[in-house]
Amino acid sequence: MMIDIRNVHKTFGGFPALSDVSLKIKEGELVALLGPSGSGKTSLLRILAGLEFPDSGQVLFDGGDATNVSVRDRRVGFVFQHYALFRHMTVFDNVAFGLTVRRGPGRLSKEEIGDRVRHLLEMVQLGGLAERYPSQLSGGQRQRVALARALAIQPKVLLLDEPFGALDARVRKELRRWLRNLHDELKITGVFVTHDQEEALDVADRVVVMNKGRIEQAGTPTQIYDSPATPFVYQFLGNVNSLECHIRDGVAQIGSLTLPASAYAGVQEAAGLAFVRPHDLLLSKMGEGAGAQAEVRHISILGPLVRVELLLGEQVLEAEISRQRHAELGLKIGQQVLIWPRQARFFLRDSWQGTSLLDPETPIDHAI
Amino acid sequence: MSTRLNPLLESRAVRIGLTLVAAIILLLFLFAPLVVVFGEALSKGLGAYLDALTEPDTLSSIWLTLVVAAICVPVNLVFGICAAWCVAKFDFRGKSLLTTIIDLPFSVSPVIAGLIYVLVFGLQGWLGPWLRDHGIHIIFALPGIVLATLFITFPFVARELIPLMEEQGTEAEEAAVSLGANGWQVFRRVTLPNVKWGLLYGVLLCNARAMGEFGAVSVVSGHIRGRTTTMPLQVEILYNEYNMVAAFAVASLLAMLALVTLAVKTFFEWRYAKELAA
Amino acid sequence: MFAAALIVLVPISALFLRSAGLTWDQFIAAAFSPRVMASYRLSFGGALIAAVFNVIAGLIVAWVLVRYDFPFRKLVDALVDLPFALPTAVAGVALTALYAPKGVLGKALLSIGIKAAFTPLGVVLAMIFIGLPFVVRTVQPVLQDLEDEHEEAAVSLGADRWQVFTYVILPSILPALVTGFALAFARALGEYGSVIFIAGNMPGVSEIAPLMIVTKLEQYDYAGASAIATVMLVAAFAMLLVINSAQKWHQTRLAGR
Repeated sequence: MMIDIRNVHKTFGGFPALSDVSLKIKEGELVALLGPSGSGKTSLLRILAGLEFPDSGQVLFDGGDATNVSVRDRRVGFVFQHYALFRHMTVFDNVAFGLTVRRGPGRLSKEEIGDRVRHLLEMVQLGGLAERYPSQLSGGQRQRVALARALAIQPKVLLLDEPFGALDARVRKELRRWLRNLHDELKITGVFVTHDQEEALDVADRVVVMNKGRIEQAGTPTQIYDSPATPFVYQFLGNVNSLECHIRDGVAQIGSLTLPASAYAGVQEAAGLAFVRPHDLLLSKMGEGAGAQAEVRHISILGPLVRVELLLGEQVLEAEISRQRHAELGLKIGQQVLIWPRQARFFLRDSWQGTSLLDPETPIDHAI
Repeated sequence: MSTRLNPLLESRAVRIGLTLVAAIILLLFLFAPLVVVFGEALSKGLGAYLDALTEPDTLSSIWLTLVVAAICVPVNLVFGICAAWCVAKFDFRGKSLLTTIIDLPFSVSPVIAGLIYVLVFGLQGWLGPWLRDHGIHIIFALPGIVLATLFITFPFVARELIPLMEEQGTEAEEAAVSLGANGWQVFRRVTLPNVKWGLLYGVLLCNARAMGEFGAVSVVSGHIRGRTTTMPLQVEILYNEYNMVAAFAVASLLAMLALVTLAVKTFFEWRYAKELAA
Repeated sequence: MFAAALIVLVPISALFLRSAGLTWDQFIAAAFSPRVMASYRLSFGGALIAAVFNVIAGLIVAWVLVRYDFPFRKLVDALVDLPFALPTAVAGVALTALYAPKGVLGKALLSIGIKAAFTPLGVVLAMIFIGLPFVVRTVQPVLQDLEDEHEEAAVSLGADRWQVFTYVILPSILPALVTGFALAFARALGEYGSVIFIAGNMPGVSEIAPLMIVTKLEQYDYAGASAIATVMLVAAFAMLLVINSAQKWHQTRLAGR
């Protein structure tokens, strides 16, 4: 099913949860709503489900206005954060619930319900656990029961609220793969909420980054990671060095490091922020290349990677280099090295909020 | 918010219907009796009301009630704290026995509670002849009334404290001990402040019941006018004499006690919630 | 808990019997004479009807207090505890004045041909008064702690409001309802002060079992009083069992999310 969200506003007790959110979701797409708590991602999901209603704006399902359709009639499969399994019902009864309460012409016979439930339980690999109660299941199993229950009503869209939030790290990874495969198999439109960027980038076809009730950026995982549109997206998507800089006539100055910032050619004099990912920071021995001088403050070896903490003027930044490079450089604490960012992105201090800072299509690259 | 669409709310008609039903139930069963007490008490005017209250037998029943409460509340305060402390903080054999004994007065008819004392201390009872020979009066005298009231009001303080103390755990107390506090200091400075509101509420309920107990006291008191009648018994006597104004005048005092109890309870809950929120 | 109840209640019953020194036949004769049997019927029957009424009424009151907003909600909430705080004798005379033929509600009932005071109906009314807060106060916190998620899940799967109530809410609050029922029943069974005034105490018609104990005592028939008390105690013990198992059931239910 295609979903079209148009200019949705929602406030809770005077606090704006969503302001002017618009988003189109394509048929069969799996979309992640990514953001910190309070970013409005869950409110948006609940509005899609019909569990909340927008103060203004519209939600269209396949072009038809669904804004005021109640959750009962929307036929969405909703998987709750804590699964919301009915504790007094067996796994079978939980999955069968949506079919049992159905009235009217769509009502299935007991046999048909049984067949469908058994089929679903096979699909989520819980065939043998039909007579168990939720309290007798592990977290991952409960999650899959919740999913089977939501799928039982043959929903037109599957909505998942922090689907892996309550699971431990190993199970989470496994279930992530499994959800992705299930989605590829069923080709159902899906939206899930998460605060875990890795999860979003790993599972989703498209990631929608939200902050303070607005959409900061929507794009494929690659687009989001490689060309973040705003400082917020930069900072939210994993490790990044943010450095104070001055921008003047298309040139950015970070301490003693001078970098071209052609997008700001017209800017006379402004304070800004430079974002450099640790793996984009190249290190070389003094006198063996270009760059600014920095002091090695701390070295930690993290498996195949080495994280180097550096002092550039008064600013601290991190670089990630390979073990091999680390051996070549023979780094020691207190040593002076040259640093050069392979890639950096600049934002002006004055106009931080929103996406109008910089044309996202023209990231500023520097090669050595 | 568009309540019309709230998926967790009944339709407007159902909501209004249920609210009305609840209102009628509460009106008929709770509010109306309360109003009647004051209505009947003042039906012959304020003068008759005050005359009824200053009648000597009534005054002595008020005095007796105060005496009974003044004995029972402190005793059960100490008992209740000890029992709650034992149940909540320690594990020992017979712990469930103790909790059952604490609960017993709640599930036993007050009449039976009174009967136990009559059977033990009464003339035909186990200790009766011995007591008579030594000139000690328990049944049909103040000691019997106090004992029966003690039994009935025993659970109130302990019942309020046990869940609070259990919830609190032993960590803070262990910390206090590790910092060099002795047992009494731990209790006074760590345990007590944490259960303060529950304790006060328990005392309040204990007091309300001590002053208002009827069944158990009725069995052991002997209804000797002006001597062994507490206020609830005085209500009964006056009522049976068809002296309605006087009966309801005494009843109104007890009703006021109940209202004050509820008001203070609500205040405590409000304070406790505020403390939890802070 | 069960064993403990046994240890406590059996000696008390033994105390009764021994002090009374009854043989088995004498016990049967004292505890199950026709007049006493009638009082059991009234006490148990009345307590049962009152408790059933209170389960429904208490659920409605708790529901309205927890889920709806209306003026004076806090005040009404506080007032629910009135039967706990109001001395039973006061409740007794007040209910009698209210439901007597000359009373405000008694007159109204009489006009439609129902005599409330001094009949078994009056006994039930007093028992309802005394038991109502037990149901409200056991159900209220459970209702408060119900998570919206479960109901939302049910609605999103297509259940209507009534189906949500019967399939999801009712099973969750059932243990609390059973506990409330047992508490209200036990209290109504043993209640004395608030019932004897409105009952009218006509032998064989509106005498409750606790009154029979008092009556026997007044006649210095300690044995008879003890025999009736023993029967009442066994009933109280059974109620205690129901309450405890309901609470255990409740806890095991809540154990798994």
